[in-house]
Amino acid sequence: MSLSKDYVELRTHSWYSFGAGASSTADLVERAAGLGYPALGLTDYSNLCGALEFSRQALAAGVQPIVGVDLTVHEPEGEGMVSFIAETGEGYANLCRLVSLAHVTAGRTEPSLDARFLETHASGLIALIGAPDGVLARLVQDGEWAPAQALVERYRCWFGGSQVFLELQQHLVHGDTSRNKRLHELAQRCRVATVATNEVWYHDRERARLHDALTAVRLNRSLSDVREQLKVNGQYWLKAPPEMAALLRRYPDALASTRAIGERCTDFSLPQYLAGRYAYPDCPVPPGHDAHSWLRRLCEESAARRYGQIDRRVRERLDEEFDLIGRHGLAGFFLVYHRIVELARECMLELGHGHQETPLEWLPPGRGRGSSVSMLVGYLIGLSHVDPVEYGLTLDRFLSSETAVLPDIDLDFPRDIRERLILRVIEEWGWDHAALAGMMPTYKARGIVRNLGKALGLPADEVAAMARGLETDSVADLSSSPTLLARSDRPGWRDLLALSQQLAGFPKGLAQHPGGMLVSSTPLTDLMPVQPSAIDGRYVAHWDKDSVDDAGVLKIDLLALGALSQMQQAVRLVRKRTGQEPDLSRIDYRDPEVFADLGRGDTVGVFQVESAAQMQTIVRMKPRDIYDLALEVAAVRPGVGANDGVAEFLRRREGMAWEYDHPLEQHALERSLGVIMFQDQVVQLGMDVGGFTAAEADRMRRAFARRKGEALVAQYRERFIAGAEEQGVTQSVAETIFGKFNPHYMFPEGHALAFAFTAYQMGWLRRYHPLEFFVALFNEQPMGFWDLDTLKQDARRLGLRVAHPDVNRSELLCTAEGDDTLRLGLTFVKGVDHRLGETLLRARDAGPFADLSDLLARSGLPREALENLARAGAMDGLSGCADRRRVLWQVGAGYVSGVRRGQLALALPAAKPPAALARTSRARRMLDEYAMLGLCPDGHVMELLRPQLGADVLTSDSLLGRRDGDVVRVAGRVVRRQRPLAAAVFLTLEDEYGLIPLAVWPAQWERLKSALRRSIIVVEGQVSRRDDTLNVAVQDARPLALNLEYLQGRADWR
Amino acid sequence: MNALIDGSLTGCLLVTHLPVKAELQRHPELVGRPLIVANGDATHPRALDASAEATGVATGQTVAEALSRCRDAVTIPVDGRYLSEVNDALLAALWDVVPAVEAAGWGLFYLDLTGMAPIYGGLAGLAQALLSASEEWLRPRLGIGPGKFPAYCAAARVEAGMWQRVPADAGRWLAPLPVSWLPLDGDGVSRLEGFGIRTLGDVAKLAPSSLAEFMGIDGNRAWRLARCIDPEPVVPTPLPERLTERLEFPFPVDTVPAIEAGIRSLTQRLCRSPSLRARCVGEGALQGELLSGGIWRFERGLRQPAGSADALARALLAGLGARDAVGSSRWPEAALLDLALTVGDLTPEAGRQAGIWQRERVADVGAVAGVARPAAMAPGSALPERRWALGASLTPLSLPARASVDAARGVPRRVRTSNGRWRPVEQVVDLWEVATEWWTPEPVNRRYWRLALADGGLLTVYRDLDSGQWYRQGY
Repeated sequence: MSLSKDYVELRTHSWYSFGAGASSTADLVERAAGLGYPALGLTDYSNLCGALEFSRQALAAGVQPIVGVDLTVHEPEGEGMVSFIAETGEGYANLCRLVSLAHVTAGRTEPSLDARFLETHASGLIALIGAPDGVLARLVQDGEWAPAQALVERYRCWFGGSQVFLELQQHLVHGDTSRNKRLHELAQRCRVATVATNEVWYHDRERARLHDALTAVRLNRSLSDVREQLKVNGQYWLKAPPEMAALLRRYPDALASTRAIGERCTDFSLPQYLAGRYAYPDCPVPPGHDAHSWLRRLCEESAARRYGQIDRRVRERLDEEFDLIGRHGLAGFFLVYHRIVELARECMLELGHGHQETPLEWLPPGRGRGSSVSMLVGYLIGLSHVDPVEYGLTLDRFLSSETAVLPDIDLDFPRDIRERLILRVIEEWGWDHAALAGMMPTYKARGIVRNLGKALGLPADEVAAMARGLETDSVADLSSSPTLLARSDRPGWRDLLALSQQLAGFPKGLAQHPGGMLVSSTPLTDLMPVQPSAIDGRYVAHWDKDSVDDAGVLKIDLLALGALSQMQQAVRLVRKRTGQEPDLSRIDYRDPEVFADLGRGDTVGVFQVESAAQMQTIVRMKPRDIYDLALEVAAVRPGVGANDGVAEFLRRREGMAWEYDHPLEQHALERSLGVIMFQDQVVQLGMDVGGFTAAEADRMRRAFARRKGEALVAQYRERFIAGAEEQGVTQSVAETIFGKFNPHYMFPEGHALAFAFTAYQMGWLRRYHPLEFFVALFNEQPMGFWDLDTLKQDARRLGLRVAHPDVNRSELLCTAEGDDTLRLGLTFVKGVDHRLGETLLRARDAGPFADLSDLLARSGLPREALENLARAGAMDGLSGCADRRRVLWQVGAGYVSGVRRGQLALALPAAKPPAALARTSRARRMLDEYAMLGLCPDGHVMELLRPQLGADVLTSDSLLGRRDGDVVRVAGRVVRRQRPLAAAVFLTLEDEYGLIPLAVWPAQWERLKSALRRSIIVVEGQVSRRDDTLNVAVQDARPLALNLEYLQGRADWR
Repeated sequence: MNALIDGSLTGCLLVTHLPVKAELQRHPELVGRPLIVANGDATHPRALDASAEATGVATGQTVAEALSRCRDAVTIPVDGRYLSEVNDALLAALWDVVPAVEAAGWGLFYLDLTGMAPIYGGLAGLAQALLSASEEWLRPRLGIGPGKFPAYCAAARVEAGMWQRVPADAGRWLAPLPVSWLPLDGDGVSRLEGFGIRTLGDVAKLAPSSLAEFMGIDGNRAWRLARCIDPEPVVPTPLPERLTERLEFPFPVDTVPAIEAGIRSLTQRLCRSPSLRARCVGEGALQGELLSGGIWRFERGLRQPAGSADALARALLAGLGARDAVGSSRWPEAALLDLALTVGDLTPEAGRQAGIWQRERVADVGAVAGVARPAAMAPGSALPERRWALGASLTPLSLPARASVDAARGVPRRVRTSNGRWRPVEQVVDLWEVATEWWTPEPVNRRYWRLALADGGLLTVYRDLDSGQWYRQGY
């Protein structure tokens, strides 16, 4: 064997070495395979985030994966980098524990391992010491032979002589040659071997600049500011073995060691190590029961309470489910969930929601989502609120007879319960057995522009403007951005354009999954590292959901759903006002009034059906029952819209003739008129048409959603068509049916039903308790869709009054006053946070504020907060405070007087404002309110602007009388811009009378986008009417300037 | 224009962009180029001033931000000592024209003109004398009014090289000016604007106590200034004193003892001067003409002010005896024909605090600029010539020099020395590369060779991989 083939690269860094590694694991593996490497080591810095992904990719490419990590180790002689490689499964477990310890003991952001931990975690590990960033390299470079020798001896003692290697690198950096020589001498003196590495940071030399840029981004400085932290040259790519052999030809033994280490690691394969290692925790069961019998007992007791008596349908469904549960040994799995729901119930009761005596299944603390909703067992043990028997939900998408992996159950909770529950779960099982799954947010266009712009030292304002101006967050669009292309010949911008293409899709760092908890009876730290999260008490695992899934680890999604928080709060407010708490599980689910509201698109603030697209769809669909509502909820999803599914479904529902592409589709698609609306239907088609088993069909469905899953999808396509042909389906029809599948997201049927129930309940609250509905909606912001001003407009349309905050009446949050008034809370005023709000309330405890002087003297608030309260109208109710400009003057004067005399605690006479001070105009008041509250409680900005417009500019209510094809002009505030998969851009305008949906076709968008991006616009367009929907197809647009001088010059015209 | 017969009259002489003008005066090669004069600490320098060509650069920006907008700008750290000299020279020139001059900032002077017009044949003559007192390149503006604030407003509104007097109805003349001209902080200005009070006229219309109640003392002063009531007198700024003694050597002197003797002689002569009686010296500068041509100069700010000839001589000699940061001697490198000693920063013996403050300020400036001391630029740089620079000019140390290298397949075989002979390479001792700065207008892409020459010497050369040119590196 030639010398060059003896080289194996043991130390590469992928993009999971956040802010440094400039290549994906796939890029590294692909290049290694191309260069003929038999094995490849991945030693990312301080994490194993990419270990499993890398291992799987390498094995698929015929390259032996070697798993390791770089850790900063705190030695008695100083702190520096050491690389550890897992030789065995035990070594891998130690690797996970060491990484966890480095994070848990030294902190999340600067992980560092105390060397004393090595003594007890060395087994199965190989240590590489001597890299330039390490303590040993510094010692030998400084000629400190004795401490250097002592350090090597210490590692020999901990790891064993054959497990320690001194690392030689040759990056053509000044000092490499002499350091290698000294390390080689030291190795001979200490009787340990040397090993060659190239400490790879990118797979290709072209990525050297990206590595530099990432370093600057990580340090949040410009490249010029971080010169000292940058590599002095770009020699850190994955070199071919002959190149490495040439660079280190003086040290053949070091080259040979790389191959030897590779061979020693052959027996360890991470995917094999993980297989069957995970076990979910055992939940205790009463004597005389096993998990299965206890779960059955719990379900039967609950069924008796739910149904009164267990009829044949329920009995058969339970038998079917328990047969599957028994076959897959899932009773313990469901008991774990049951335990979590019990913990959630404890949290719910501690927070003052619900009653101790109400059975769990009657008032579950959360509610299920996803395909798990189809399990009757879940319904009976409090995991779901949808009766799958009543709605005929099938089990195949969730659990089938040949399912090999643990099924997926997601649970939604109100925010406060969920916050407490996550901590409670970690307390229950311990941080090394329960942690949140990791998540790697990735770089997208706007972030790339901001980060690279700063790194490259480009003007901050130009960079910010460019990032803001991007239409989408897609990097593909970035390369065609006219503003960037116009600058592409300028230094810096040219680099930004080039680097942005490389940086797209890179993970930014390790974040916590929104709610995915990993719970394990095996310590999680034997499987993957765990580290403290940014939030106290939480821990996060180093693997994302894909790796967790591949490892077969149970992920329990505990998600926060703002709508549930809103619902919980609204119910409490109704009880407070009326003395009676509505039981939302027992309301009339066929109430025509509620469905009438929904069918009119009167849905602002209603969960899942409030977007412009949903409003347009729901008025055409006019749901009549919960299943209709589920179809509506499911329809406006990218996966349904991708093949024009929504429009097709609506046409068919409205009576258009249609046929199945093949009769075998009927079973799957009957309920949705031949259109794929749910994930379950993809699975069913896979079974019915492609001849797959349920599990195979589900794997096919998942393949579409996987990142870089194109090759896998192609395999499934072939198998689907072959399977269909066996069932008598022609190839072309099979291709047509397979063509309906797409990678975009859609809901499982049970999930849509679960959300439909929640949507209906919200619609019911909005119909019968609008005041409480809106108070809770305001208080639970952000809820992700409409801003406060739009919500306020809708509340006013429903006859509610939105009242200004008031220093004598407001609480911290919004409150209900009387039967029709929503009083804005103090913390809704800009600059008045929770702490300042409480300060004011404490002062008010002694009695209401009599006047401004009293407020200034007693409130203890800083001047800015008082001024903001005045501008928000919170002092309007005080005696003598009718004019806000005069109040502001008095606040300023009082503040100066108080500070000067040191008498803020004493009652000060409010200074008399100068007579020359003009009164506050309505325009100024309104603009101040927008600035301070984000809304104008008793008006709309268009009221100010309407007099500027000609009579030909219609209001939203007068638009209703216009016919299809009419050319109209309308004006308003842009409250929503959306660009779904369809090419058109959809805008929603809001004027003082309502909402106006606009559609902008691509050519018009290109022509008018600078105007359409402004906040207040006038547009001309053609009315498009279809059934009960109305759109204005924009033909022309111009921004509408808020001419304050003009407004101020006018009399108060109201 | 008639001379004012009664009442006080104040002038304001304003030189805008003094830092840039002063630098362009001594660096004429920079005229027409975008120029930024920076101050602040070494790690966070900010733009103090910028030339008209430096588009997008504003005072107060960080230098990094300024350079991001104007990438080809030349950045010079402010030379506080030089700028003071320019300002002091202007101050001295104005003292020659009028009896009271207040230096209110770099390029800003208030002048007591009361009763002065008749001496110059009228106000126009006086104005012309004041404008002519300063160097033409400073292009001063002069405003004359019934107080400092109106005079400043007049100066700021007149073209460079011209003067104007605030008309009799000064209040009306000031009225259209925006409130941002008042000496209020940004918050105060924006608060006034929030009340619709946007001009000095709006302020003047308020009741007398209104602004005082609203903004305290600042408000009261602002109200008075807006009504052209500015009773603040011109507070004369004394001229900085400097004393010089000079001696000519009977023959060119090139030995340390001879120069030491000259220094001691000069310190004794100076300290005998009545001007230095009971006073201390805070700084001293030696200067002499070299036999080989050129000027030798050595300056020192004293840690402790020197109150005697001995102390002053000791301090100067101690400074001369110390090597500079790159190990070079501070003594003249050639024989001296003469020697002059100038002392400044003169303080009463009891007034050492003032002296200390000044030195601190100088030290701050020196952190960026220094006068001739090396400043750390990028100590960790891969390029030795970027690690340290001489402060005032920011000249990099250890600059590489062009070299002739005969190479075969990129590997040096022989190197030509300064006497024109080729020296064969015996062995390549080491090889390394530097490839960085790709984001700047001057990317670096070099391969270095440490060579053992056949004659036993060691030499480092590198090849610029972009140009193919060879250089010799002095380490």
